Amino acid sequence: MYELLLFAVSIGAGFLGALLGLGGGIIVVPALTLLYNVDIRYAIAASLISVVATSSGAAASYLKDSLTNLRLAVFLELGTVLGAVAGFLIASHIEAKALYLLFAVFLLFSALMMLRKRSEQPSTVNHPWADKLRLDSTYPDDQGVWHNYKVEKVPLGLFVMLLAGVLSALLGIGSGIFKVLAMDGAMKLPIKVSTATSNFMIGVTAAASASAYFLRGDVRPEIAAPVALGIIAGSYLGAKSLSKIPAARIRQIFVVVLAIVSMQMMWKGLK
Amino acid sequence: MKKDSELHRLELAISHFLRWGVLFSAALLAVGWIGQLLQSGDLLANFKHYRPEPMTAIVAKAWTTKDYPILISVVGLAVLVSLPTLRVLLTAYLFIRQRDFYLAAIALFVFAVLMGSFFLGIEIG
Repeated sequence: MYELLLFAVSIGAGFLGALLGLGGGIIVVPALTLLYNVDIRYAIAASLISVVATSSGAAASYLKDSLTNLRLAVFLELGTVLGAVAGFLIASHIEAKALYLLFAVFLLFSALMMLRKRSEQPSTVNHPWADKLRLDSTYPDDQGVWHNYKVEKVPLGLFVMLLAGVLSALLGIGSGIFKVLAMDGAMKLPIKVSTATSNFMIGVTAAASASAYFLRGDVRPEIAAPVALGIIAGSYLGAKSLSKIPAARIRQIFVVVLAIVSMQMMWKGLK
Repeated sequence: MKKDSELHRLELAISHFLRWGVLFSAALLAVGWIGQLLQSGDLLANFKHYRPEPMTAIVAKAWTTKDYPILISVVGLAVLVSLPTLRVLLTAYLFIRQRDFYLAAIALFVFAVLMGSFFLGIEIG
């Protein structure tokens, strides 16, 4: 009975995730730990598996609209996978308590980021690395007009990706929020390009630590199977109904929910 | 930018292939999970406290007790975690084909880290 409910919760997580442009991890980890009392280490591992599933399943649709910058994605994956390996090693040495507290901070930060208005300040100059590796590109806007864009501050972007990788492995999330911050914040990419490229990269980031957790035995099939299945189904439904649901309203409600869940995670960590 | 559009087209082909991979693993997970549900009652009660147990031990136990639902689920999960690793390798191949050796080297390095990460799980486990 509880298992069926977990499946239903995971469908909801996938659905909301697709609607709000968040990974399922931000919902799955609190649901497993707070509602099911599952140890946070199993929750993180199961969550990473579902992040791999959604990102790999949707990669084709991110590429199709020509917004994903493949060359930049591969380059930045350098940072996220190395960070993820470091995160896995750190996670092996810290207490579950610290993971709860870190997750609580992450939830609060996500709530703040959801309120942020992303502003576009396209850059006109390339960083030398961007010239060398041809990381700049073109993208079509809503009217179908193509624009050129350049890529600034590549080393800073790579460094933030490293941190994104660490947090992905520590907390069982895709780290899309931090990736987007690196790309349109530091590297001054157009918002649409940075969102699409981030979504495209998430699967590889999550796989870097998911594979280690998997062989260590933290990905328990009893938990990961219903969670991954539910998230795959839910995100498919969410993407389908994207245009029919007032996402802005749900976003406002979700910010409040994140803040409340953050308090609960903090409470659980301090107990 | 003919070269880039060809790259884009090939990467799209890889992504379609990956989507089938996800569906294949989802099918395995569905069969495995339904099997688990039919077999035993409370599947989640045992995970309230963290007790490390390497995947090799989980599989060995399922193998000796002929617990096929668990084995099928594990195969489904293994397929799933391998998909991004496979994608990076295929992308490296695309860059080599285009004689873009910097990006090919980066992709191969990412692939190496991903492979290393599997071993990390065994070492520490």
